[in-house]
Amino acid sequence: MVIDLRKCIGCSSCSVACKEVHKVPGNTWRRVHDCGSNEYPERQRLFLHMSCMHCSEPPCLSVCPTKATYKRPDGIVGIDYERCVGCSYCIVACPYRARTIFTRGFDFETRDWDMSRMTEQRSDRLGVCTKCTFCMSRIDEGLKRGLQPGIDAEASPVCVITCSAKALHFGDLEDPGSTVSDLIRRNKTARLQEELGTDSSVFFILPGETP
Amino acid sequence: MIFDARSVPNKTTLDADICIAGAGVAGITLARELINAGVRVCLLESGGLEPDRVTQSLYWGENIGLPYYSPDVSQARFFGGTSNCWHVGTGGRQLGARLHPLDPIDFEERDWVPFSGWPFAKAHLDPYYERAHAICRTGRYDYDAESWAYPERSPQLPLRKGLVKTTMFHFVRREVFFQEYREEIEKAENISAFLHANAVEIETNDTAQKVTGIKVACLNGPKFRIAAKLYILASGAMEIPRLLLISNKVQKEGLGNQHDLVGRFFMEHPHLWSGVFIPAGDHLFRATGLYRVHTVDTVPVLGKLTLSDAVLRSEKLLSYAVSIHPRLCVDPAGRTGATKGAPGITEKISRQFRGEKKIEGFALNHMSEQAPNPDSRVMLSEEKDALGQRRVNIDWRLTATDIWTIRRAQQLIDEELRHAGLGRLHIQMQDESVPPDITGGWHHMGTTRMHMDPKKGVVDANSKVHGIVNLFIAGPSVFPTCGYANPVLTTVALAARLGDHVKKNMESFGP
Repeated sequence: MVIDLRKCIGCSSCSVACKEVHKVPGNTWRRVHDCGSNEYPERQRLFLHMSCMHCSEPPCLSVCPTKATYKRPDGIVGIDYERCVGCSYCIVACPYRARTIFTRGFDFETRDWDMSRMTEQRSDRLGVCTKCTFCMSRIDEGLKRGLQPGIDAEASPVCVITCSAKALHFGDLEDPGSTVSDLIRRNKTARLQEELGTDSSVFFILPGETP
Repeated sequence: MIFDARSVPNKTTLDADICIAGAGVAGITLARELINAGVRVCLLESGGLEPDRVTQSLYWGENIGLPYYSPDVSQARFFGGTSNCWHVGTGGRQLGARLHPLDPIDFEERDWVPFSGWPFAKAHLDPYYERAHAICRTGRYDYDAESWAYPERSPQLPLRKGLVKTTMFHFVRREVFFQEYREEIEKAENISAFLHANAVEIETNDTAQKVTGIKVACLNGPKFRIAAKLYILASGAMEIPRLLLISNKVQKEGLGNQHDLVGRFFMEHPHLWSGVFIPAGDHLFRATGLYRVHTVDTVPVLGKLTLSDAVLRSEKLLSYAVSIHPRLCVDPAGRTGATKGAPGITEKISRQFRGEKKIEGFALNHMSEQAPNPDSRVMLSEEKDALGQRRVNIDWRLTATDIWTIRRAQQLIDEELRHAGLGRLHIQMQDESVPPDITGGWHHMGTTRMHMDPKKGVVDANSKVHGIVNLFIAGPSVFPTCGYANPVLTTVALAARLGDHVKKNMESFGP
């Protein structure tokens, strides 16, 4: 994923869409932090997006005692809810604060008149660790239909397709012809906490000066 | 058709019949109303089709009153305006905004609400509300809870004391304005939309009774002007007063500001999470589906609780609505030490490890009317933006009346719930001080209010600026009062109404 911080206006549509689609309470899987300063004359706007960085060297993976955290061949880091015992080691290990355990309190928030549907969708996530999945089920379904992640909306993460500013881009970092590879090549980018060697898959295009 | 204003030659004058400044919800609605209407329309948009930080920075300003969103965060300066930032879940992955008309009482001059009263009644606006529903591409214009409740699946709460009632909210998808209607405007031959075109000054004749042009500037680009027969400002309740106050070459106090009203009466809908509805039984969690976002015949709707007209009048309250959200809430009894007897070992361990005792209840999300207040205002600051224009200071102020409504409404809902045997309310607010976590909903309203009397309003009943023959204003800045309803539906209804007025009277604006 490439997040163009030059374009983001901090509307949080991405995190709201994430919350709506995945039925997660609050902005637990995706957060947009206003890191700017509104003080004259030092005004500067910076909206930092925090979610799972789908690291190539994920610290959460090695500490998991039950091997519930796994990395797919396409690079997406997932969690097997059947294996997870909710020990929280991965939460401690993740430098991006990307992981959350839903307790009954969180689950209760979504209690719905259509209880059967909600329980069916969510019961496997109670008491185990959860996080951004890069909407892997959408990607997998899209691929089955011959769609291209990052190009076709139905095969792309909802945060990407909901972004008001079109600041979020998704695709194959291994493919030099992909939009994300092109953006990284042509712009000054950074990844968070690179010194930790996580080799994150989320790149930020840095904003320049604003008048 | 859509053009890039940066390609317009410097210092030229473009002619049109109608110039609309601002391609947000109001401006787009107006432009659509004028498609194929036999007039040449120029639609000015400060931003592009996508946002950019430099253009967005033109919004920067200071909050000098109650804590409020930075103005560059609560507005969107690109095609579609703030509709780009509507993000209420409407079910599925669709985001949008809530719709609700103002209630009939909101249009009345209420003796307990100073500066209240619209120049017309709700019945006058009803046909436009109906049209607004079609424009918003949503379901039928029907907000009666009876029409949307199903006794078995999603009944209304049986509230019979007459204090509290259920009302419905509809939704508009956010893509409608910035995407679907953009395509219509692109195809419309009589509409010329200019992107990256900032309206920076309104020019008038020597008496400031007629607008002669609008000066336009592009960031790091050309400057040109639009000369039209009539002009409509549709750039939001912060930018419109800013532009009027900046345009002070002839009328020194600012255009239309002869009675010091421009920028005053800034209103928001106070939003507040506070209090808990503690239900009488678990069954209520399953029996309150009407009060969550759900779909009836493909139409997403949401029920909220509001106060009856009779109680608003007898209690002299402002309009008010509350949504209820099932949550695990901190037990108010546990918090106040009202638990009977000494806690057992299990209770002690539970508190030790889980914090305060939690109970199943409904958290309350209040959204109420702010009374018109001349001291709550948008004004010019000394700081200038990248175009050399003075920025704004926002002095948002709430009064004890605003806060009392939210508190008293909860007392009345508590009375109603107890009477119906449905449970009770735990009210957290203790007095009329402004709660520190109160906020707004990006609903900027009231800064060029509508009134028949030029001494009490900036625009007349037709949204024309008093004292200027060819300058109109569209958008929530003309609301003299704001009810509890999200402003979108009334904005669209008034824009459609203004479109009719303009088409009908076009000849009176000259050859």
